[in-house]
Amino acid sequence: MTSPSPCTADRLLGAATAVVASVAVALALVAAPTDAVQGEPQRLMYVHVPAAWLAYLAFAAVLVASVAHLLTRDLRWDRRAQAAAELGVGMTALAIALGSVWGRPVWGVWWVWDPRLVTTAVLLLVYVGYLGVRGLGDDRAAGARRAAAVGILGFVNVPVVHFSVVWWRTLHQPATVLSPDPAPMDPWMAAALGAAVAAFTLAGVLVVRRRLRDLASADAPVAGAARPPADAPAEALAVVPRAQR
Amino acid sequence: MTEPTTGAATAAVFRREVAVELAGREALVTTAPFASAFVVLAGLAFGPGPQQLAATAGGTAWLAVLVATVPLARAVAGAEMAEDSWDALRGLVAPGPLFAGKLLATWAALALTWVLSAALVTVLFEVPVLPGALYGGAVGTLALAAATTTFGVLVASGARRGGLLAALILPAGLPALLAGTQLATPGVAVLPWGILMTLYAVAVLTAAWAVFPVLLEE
Amino acid sequence: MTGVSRIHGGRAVWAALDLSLAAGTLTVVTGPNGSGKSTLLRMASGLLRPSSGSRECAGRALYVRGGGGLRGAQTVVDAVAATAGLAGRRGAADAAVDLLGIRALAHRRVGTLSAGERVRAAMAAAVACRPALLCLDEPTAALDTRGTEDLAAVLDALRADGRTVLVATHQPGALLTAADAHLEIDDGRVVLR
Repeated sequence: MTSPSPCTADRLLGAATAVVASVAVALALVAAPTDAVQGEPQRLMYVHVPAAWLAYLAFAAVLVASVAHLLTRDLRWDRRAQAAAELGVGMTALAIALGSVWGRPVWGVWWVWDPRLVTTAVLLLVYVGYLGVRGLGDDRAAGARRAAAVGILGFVNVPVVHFSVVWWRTLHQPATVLSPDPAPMDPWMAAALGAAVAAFTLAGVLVVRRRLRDLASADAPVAGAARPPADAPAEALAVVPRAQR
Repeated sequence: MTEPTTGAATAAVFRREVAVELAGREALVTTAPFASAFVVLAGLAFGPGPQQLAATAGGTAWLAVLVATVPLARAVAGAEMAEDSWDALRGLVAPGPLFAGKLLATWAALALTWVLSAALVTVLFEVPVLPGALYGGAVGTLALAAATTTFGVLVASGARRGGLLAALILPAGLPALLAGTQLATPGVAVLPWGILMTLYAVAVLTAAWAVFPVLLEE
Repeated sequence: MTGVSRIHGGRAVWAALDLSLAAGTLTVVTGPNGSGKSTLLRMASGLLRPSSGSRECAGRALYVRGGGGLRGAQTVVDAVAATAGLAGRRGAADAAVDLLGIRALAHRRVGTLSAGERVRAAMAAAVACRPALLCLDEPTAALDTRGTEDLAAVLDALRADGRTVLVATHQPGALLTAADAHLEIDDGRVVLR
């Protein structure tokens, strides 16, 4: 393979992230108009929505990496799952916190029992538990297996949790404050949101790549010892009944 | 040497669980006083108005069951490991029957906890017994038992952070809490919640069955 | 077991071991603490998956640490029957209790037994299960000289029945004279046989 070295790739990725992020900031703060109804707080959307998007992307990656780890037992997949989960937990917490800050001036409340909010909060709980499972014991391989199991169980549960809360809401209160606005979005707003999503995604990839290198170096001694010396003679022992000797 | 069939091995694991419970009454003493205290305290917290009590009745019974999964999970593997009997169990029984036997035992314990909580709620909170609630109780406790069995083995196989069990089981039990509560509430459509509870049980059972053998590895 | 190795915490406890145990043999494993005895027994019994290599066993394997394997709340006779039931041999429990000479303890709870009595109860369960391979980890620590002699006689009977027995111990005593082979290991290597 003639791919560039990891550092070069990271630099290119970092530069791309910086450019896209600058464009996103300019679009979000200058070009996009102020929301007619919600006012300036609506600009939180340009961080809130990309954070939530990146969190969902990261959790999907955790599922894929967890299944791949259980199929291959390769610790590289486990490290990918861990790095993605850490990013996902951070982004979920950010999305919930920003959503709360946004909701307070607009709706007058910090929290509403909306399916999307509740599901996101449950996601946060599930993946905080997922990261906690990694510290249950000292055996690296066992920790990876346990985490993969939780990564799969957690993700399977999420759609059921979501539908539970959707039905729970519709039975008690027909309309929800978060129902999408039927009016089309201002093109500058859409452009700012698109740029912000792209910037968050690029930054997320960068963060995961750097974290993977840290995790790989932490695992490195294990990887070195995993191969018994090739010249070590296998000790062939056979125990037979004494009477046959 | 003839290996026992899967059904026979499952029955042997379940029979052993029942014998250990009859000998030690661990689950009974763990959950019966707990569920009783929970319902009485919930009545004090939400009452005494009959309307408030009626509105919180279904949720109270399911919260009691959900929280009871945490101490009950110890019987799956934690107690076995503490008594050095887990290795023998793993060696003698294949993962499938081991899961099934432990699942049945946990289901029985959780179903009894639900029956006790729901009966107390029915009497103390003065609410009617609904057929849909009985279905929810049977299927919901099965789903919770699958989650309890899996997370019980997962957490017990570690050396630390035993308290993480609650953080894992409680969010996983959310659909059972919601669907079970709705099925126990008069005037709520039974069909959608019955379907949801069934789908939840199928999803949890399938996922738990799939990952359980991995958790037995050492 | 062929070409078996096991990595634990980044350290190779066992590297490249080939071990075959014929049916009807008794092998005693000795060695200092941390030399890899338990790892060897757990890999042999199939509880511990080797990091590389393969393991084959013609039938069920049972691993017992000390006097473990039985639930403390049950009486000896019930606990032995419950464990034998897992192997589909519930009916063999009573005879095993008599073979081990613990009929007098039969209705005491396992949790109230002394350490030596627990080993006898655990052995009754192992005999009742009749596993193809029986791995005993430190069964002699709680036994006196007489107890070890009794254990050797029981293991001899199992061997005569075609069972394979692998025992790890610091105090082999009478087991050593009964054994078909003695592996002395140090740091995941066999140094004497």
